[in-house]
Amino acid sequence: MKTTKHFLQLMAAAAAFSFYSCDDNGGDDPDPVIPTESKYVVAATSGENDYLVAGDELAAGATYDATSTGAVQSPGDRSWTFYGTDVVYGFLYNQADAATSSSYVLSDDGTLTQRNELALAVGVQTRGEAKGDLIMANSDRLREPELDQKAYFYKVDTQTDASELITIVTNNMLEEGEVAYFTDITEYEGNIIAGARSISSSAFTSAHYNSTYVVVFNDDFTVKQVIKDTGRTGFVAGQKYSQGETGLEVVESGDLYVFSSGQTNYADAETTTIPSGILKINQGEFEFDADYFFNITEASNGHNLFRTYYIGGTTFVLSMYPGTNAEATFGIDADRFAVVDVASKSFTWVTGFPSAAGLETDPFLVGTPFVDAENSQLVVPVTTSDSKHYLYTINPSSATATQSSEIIGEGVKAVGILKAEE
Amino acid sequence: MRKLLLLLFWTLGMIPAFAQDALVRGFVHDTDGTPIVGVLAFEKNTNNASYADAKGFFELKIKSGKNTLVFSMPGYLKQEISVELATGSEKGLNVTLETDPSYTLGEVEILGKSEIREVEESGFNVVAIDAKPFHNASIGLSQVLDMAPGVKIQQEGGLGSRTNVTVNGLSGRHVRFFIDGMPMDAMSSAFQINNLPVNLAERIEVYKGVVPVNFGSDALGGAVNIVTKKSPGKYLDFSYSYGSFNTHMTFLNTGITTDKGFTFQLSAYQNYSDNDYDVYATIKDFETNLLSKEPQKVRRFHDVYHNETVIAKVGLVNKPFADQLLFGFTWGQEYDEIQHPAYLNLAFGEKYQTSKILMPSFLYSKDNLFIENLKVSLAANYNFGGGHNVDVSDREYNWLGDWVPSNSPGEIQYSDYVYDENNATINFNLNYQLDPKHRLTVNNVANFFSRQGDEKVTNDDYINQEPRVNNRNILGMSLTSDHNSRFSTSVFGKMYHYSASAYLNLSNQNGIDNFQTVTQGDTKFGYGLTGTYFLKEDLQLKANYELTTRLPVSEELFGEVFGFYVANFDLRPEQSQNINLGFIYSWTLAQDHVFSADVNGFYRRTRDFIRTTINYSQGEGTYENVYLVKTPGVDGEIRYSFKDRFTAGTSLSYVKPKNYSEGSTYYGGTLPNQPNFFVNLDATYFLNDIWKPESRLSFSYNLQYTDEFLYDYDTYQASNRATIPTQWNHSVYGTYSWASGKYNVSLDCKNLLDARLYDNYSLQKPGRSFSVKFRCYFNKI
Repeated sequence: MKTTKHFLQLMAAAAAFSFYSCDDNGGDDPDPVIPTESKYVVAATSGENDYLVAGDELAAGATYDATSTGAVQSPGDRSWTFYGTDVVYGFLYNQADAATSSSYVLSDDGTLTQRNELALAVGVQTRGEAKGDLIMANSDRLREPELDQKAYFYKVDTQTDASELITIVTNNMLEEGEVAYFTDITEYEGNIIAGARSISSSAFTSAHYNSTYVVVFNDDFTVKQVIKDTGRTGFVAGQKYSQGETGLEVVESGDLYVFSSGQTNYADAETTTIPSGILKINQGEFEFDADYFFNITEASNGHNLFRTYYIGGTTFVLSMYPGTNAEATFGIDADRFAVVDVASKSFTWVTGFPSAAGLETDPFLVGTPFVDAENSQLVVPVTTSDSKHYLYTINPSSATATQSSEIIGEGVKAVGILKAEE
Repeated sequence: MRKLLLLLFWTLGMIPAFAQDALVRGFVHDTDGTPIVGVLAFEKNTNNASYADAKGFFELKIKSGKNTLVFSMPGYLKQEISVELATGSEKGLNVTLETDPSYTLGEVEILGKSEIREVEESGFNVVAIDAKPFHNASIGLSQVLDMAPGVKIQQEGGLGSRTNVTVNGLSGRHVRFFIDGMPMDAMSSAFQINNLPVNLAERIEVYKGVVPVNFGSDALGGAVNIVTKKSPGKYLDFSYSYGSFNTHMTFLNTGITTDKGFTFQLSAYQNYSDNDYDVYATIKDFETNLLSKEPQKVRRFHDVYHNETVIAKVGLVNKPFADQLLFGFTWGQEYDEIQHPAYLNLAFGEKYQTSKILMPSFLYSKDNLFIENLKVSLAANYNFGGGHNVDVSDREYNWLGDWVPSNSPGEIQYSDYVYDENNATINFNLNYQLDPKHRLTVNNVANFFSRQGDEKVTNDDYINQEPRVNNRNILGMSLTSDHNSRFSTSVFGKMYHYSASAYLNLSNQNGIDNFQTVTQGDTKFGYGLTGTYFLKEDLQLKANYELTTRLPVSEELFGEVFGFYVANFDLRPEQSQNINLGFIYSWTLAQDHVFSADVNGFYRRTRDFIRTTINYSQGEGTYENVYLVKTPGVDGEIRYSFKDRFTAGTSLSYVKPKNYSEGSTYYGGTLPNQPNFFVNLDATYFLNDIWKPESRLSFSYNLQYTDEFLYDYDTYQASNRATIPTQWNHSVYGTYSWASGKYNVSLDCKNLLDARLYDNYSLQKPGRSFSVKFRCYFNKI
């Protein structure tokens, strides 16, 4: 919780030294064509509360203004998850204890409305879509090691927002004497699967940094199988603070690609070297392909992968952070991107972001990217080092980023598309 | 509540005179028999004096033998009466004063200066609230404070709940609290403004903006000084009240001061409430984990608050070596159940916290020490109290009080946290009258704060391995000049210093590994000027300017001990320029119709303004520096009184603090989450001598109006933006007093119309409540 706080302070500090002028009134869309069935939705913040702003297009001239009367206030500081184009959830995070979250949908008239308020007994650390539900999870991290360590899975019905909580014990799940901490969830071959790290203390220490774990669950979340690889890369993580997001990706061919930052923890980063890399589980198999490994640290010349975004075919966009060993920043400044083809093992840095040369000394902040499948692009919310907020679109075929819509607010967190229900 | 109320209530007389061994009692009235309030009765050629009370009665202890008593009151002819009394005897006098034909009506209510008048006539922008009229009512000290112009209380719930005081638009720690001049921030939550009984106070002084140096204060927004009762001789004040929500409040204050100068004073009080009032809240369905779409009316079920405090003082007064030499001890404890997090959408059922204060204290003061006109005082206290936060529930509750077994222990955060305080304050004050027109004041307040905590449920409790330390020192000096009877000025300078340390995790990243002792400190300077000028005898102008610094306090640097506020060790001191300009005017329409009015305008320019923000996601607040805040505002009050029958008044406050952080989307936006416009209205009607002789029946009405305010900056204009709605809070009080105020019974109804009142977003305050209070008060038994 403390670390999240510092991140917010960092954002606030960045905002405090910002200089930009409001040159757009926002709200007034000169384009009379209003396609009500589909809207881009941007989650922005005033620093005090979050605001959702809907718009029709992403373009350099199309501004999303959180201060406008058309914005929808969502009290508090939330993290935002789009479930397809049906619903967006604003999650409040409160570690292992109760927090409330709101769901928003697009009405027929093109306005955003709050559908429900969810009261989950734990905060959400990772989430994923599996078997028609949104699955959200929180794992104990040995703060009270004398108790059984548990993981909490909420299965949310995305039509009604009703959820069911399933709790499992994580002690010794991956390794004897350590506990499992879940970092990504998805569906593979009809099973709910999760990436996990093995930890031996609340500081995320482990005796097994160089192992990769994919846990295969039965429908009742009992463990069916743990798929393990050792010696090539590390945990499925992409973790910042307590939050994990991505790392397990099933591609069109049905193969499962498994991504690891090779993340250790701060204390051990200096002495333990684990490269970032990509492993593969071939369709129908429940073991890692011993012949497939893509060393990303090597390909990127000393960087680490953070989060992974599947565009299509075998193409991914990866967000990357600099530094290995003691220099590693663990996702804090994952503010550069690369396009990779996991089949051909190609790695290309994305160009076109502002001040790309000075990123190490002048990082900017990145919100939650959105895979715009229809347009085969990745949309990335960016706060520049002079505290302006934009959406950038990454074209994977050219590996270039282009500045798109500007966001008026004190920060931008996420972007997605919502469609009104038929 | 202000100076004119003084006319209407019993005053406690002046400085005690201890060499006197005889007593004169009497009644002063005009030629029609109407009592004259506030007549000065004194022994000729001495300083031994007393005032006639609200009913024209006076008492004066004098030396036995032959004496001349003088009765003086502007607007009336002075009268001298010779008396001869034997040792230990008592004499009754019936004094008739004739109207002074040469006197104009406009000057009738110029009184001998009471302490309240003296405070208010200084060059500071200050309100002195006479607490005595409220001693019969079932209200807390903070509710009395809420009635002062320019002052707003934001309370989170019922009795004992967290209270935020705003003075001229600056709130929280921008406002400092003192009790008898000693800072209260080191005194544990068991002894704070939200749990002090009104009967403990004789008056409450609210300094808006500029604060006199003798408080050793680094306040920006102002200071509240609670002046406790100090009665001479023997006295006993006891009261008990019972009210809605099973609220019990008891107060006892007794003391004796012998002719030989031995004094013993004891105050003890208790507050208890179930706070089980109705609120509208959303209900969690444990099947679906959804909150109900519409809020339901539910009863609070886990909000018991109680506190108990004993304050004892023993010592010597009026000795050759000391005017006051007092040793005291304060013992207090509180128990506070936590019903909900920072918002009312979830309910807790078991979390609670306790705290205690254990505080020895010392006071020494002496006039003419070593040399003529040198007055020195030294006050010190040491709080070695502490507290305990307990959040170990294995259940999860909803607002209906239903529960299911929880999957993880703790309702907000699993905690069994014990802490100990070691906080000391030393206040040294020196006053030297250089010549009849000039007075020099030097003040130094040193504050030592150290808190050692232990989180028992956490194994890797590194953060509590070392105590958190925050030591502060404020040195001030002022020169006050009375240029003539109409014009006074005061110039002052202050030096602020603090040095803090804590054991903190510096990695700010994944994992807890980089703990170090971090120190933080700063020295700042401030200065200011105050002036007051009587344009006419009844029209006073006040003006003052100050550059002041406020040092971050321990809670801001390290986070609250528990609850919803977390550390921000990077906070910088905030600096502010304060300007105040005010007028006070009194006039009389006809002999019995007295009006007074005052109006104050102010402007604050604050850099690195420290502001609280609530982090919704974690249900927590934090403190942060905001670049630049400008606060213009105005407040004013008009009062009217008719004889001793009727008094009414209204005060208005308007304040608009705006954030001028360059380049932000809230540039020029009003700071969210605090009231900008509020009004108080009160009226009291008195009936004298009904049913019993020497009795009085009074009916009071009070209205508090608070205009709607926003939950976010007003530059964010979302059509669904959250507001804190307009409040209309009507209350009525009826009090019957007999035997000259020795016995009192009062019946109160607060929030008469059962309105849904909010001071904070979503946090509903109590609905209609009733209470009854019995009080007996014996002075000079």
